[in-house]
Amino acid sequence: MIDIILMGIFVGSIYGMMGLGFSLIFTGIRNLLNLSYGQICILGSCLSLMFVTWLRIDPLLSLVIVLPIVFCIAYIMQYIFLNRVVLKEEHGTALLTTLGLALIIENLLLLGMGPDVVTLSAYASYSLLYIELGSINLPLSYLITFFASLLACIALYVFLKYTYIGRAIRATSESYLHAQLFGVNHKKTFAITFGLAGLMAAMSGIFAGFIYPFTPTYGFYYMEMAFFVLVIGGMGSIKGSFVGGVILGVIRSLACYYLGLPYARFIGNIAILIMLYIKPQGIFGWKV
Amino acid sequence: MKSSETPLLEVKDLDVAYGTIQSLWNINIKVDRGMCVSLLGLNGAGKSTLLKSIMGFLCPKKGSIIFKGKIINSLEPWQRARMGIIYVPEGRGIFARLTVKENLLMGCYSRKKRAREILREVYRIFPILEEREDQEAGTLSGGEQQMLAIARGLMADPELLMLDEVTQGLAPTLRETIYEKIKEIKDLGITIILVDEYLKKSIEISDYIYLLTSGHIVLEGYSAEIIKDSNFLKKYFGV
Repeated sequence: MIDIILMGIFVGSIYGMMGLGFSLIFTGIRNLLNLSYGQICILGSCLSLMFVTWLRIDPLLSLVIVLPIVFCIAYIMQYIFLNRVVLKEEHGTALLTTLGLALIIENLLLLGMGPDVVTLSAYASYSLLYIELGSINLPLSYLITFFASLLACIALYVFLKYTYIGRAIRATSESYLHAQLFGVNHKKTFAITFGLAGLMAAMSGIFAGFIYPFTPTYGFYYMEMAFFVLVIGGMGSIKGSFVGGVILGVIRSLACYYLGLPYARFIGNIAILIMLYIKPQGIFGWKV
Repeated sequence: MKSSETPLLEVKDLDVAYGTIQSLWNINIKVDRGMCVSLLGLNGAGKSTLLKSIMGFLCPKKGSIIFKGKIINSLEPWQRARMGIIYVPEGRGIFARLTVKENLLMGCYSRKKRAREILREVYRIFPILEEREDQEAGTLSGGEQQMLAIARGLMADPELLMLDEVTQGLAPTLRETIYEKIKEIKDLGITIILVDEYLKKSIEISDYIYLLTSGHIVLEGYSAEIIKDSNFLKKYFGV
């Protein structure tokens, strides 16, 4: 059982990073639940696959090309389509707009890639390598993605805490009106926020692509996991997102092994409902 | 106001409405560099509305706002902030989840290069803030938060500093302290527009006064002359 839990922790780091991006949008952009977030994750996986097969490079190397592209796409999406609806008082329009964008991205990807289920692990030279930890055989790719996810979360923390733009993002998340009083262009700040979230999404999509097969229609499935991390781990907390991701990883790992995948999703969703009832801001979050 | 120099701020024939409800009529104001101007009037007279319009949060129905000789009607609040118009809002508006120092650094977002220099000056005027540098701003007392809000405004190296009800809800001794700080800021040569309900002190500290009643300017003049006006209090209370 230890090895199942350990696998869950390692995979959970990816979910943590996935949820972190989702949480960043929720706290940073006026409590927006961006329903196209999962599709951005899949966009990362699909773009990576495209470059990996076209340029014959390692999926990890494709990060260098894919990340800037996804940042730009997310930035433009927020600036052109979402800013105008996010600044309205009622949330319905913004939510519907993100849903519309989700469907557009998903269908564009289906057009480009087809509905076949694919995986990135076939293109990584080390995907078959294992490390022995006592009696446990841990795939090397799990170890690499764990540390990469941890590093990304730490990098985001440092960025938000110690840079001017990071502070502007945090200030804008509290009050975009008051942030403007000091020269912060809130529209650009929202766009950068979604851009950063897009980086988290694309990375987690690529890392998840190492471990699980994916297809363009998995977008909402990934968002389900991001949503779990947002609610359980805590809104606005980086530490919370990572912990929430690990919790999800362990739950899924145990449930998958003993009960099967449908039960894993079911248990995860019940946990979300219970958490929303007893402590809506999550384990580490603050009241929104 | 007699001055051969272009005023720092001019408001001409301004009409402002909240939707269909008009709140300012035909406002004309001039603020020269280095002056401290007070906007006086009862609650609801339109003082905050005027400051918010100058900042760009409200769109005027008619009239123009001119800063350093340029009409700024079409500029967004963050653009006006970058030009040097800094507004310390009613209710302080500090970022509760950021630390004191982070709040101050937000203040100089558009003046990053001089951050260290200005921070030293700000800590000199408000030493309590240096003591509480790493504390979350939301945990400060009311008076400390007010000082943080003013200090944050100073961090932006303002050309025009607009202070809106900065002693609201504070104990009398704290009010005196805040006014001492405002005097220090005035002595630095910063142009100030002050809106405050503490009548005696705001008249004492300002050079020129505009009295508003129900969205109109009913009286204006140098503060030294205005206090001698026997009608002043009558006009203030709208009698």
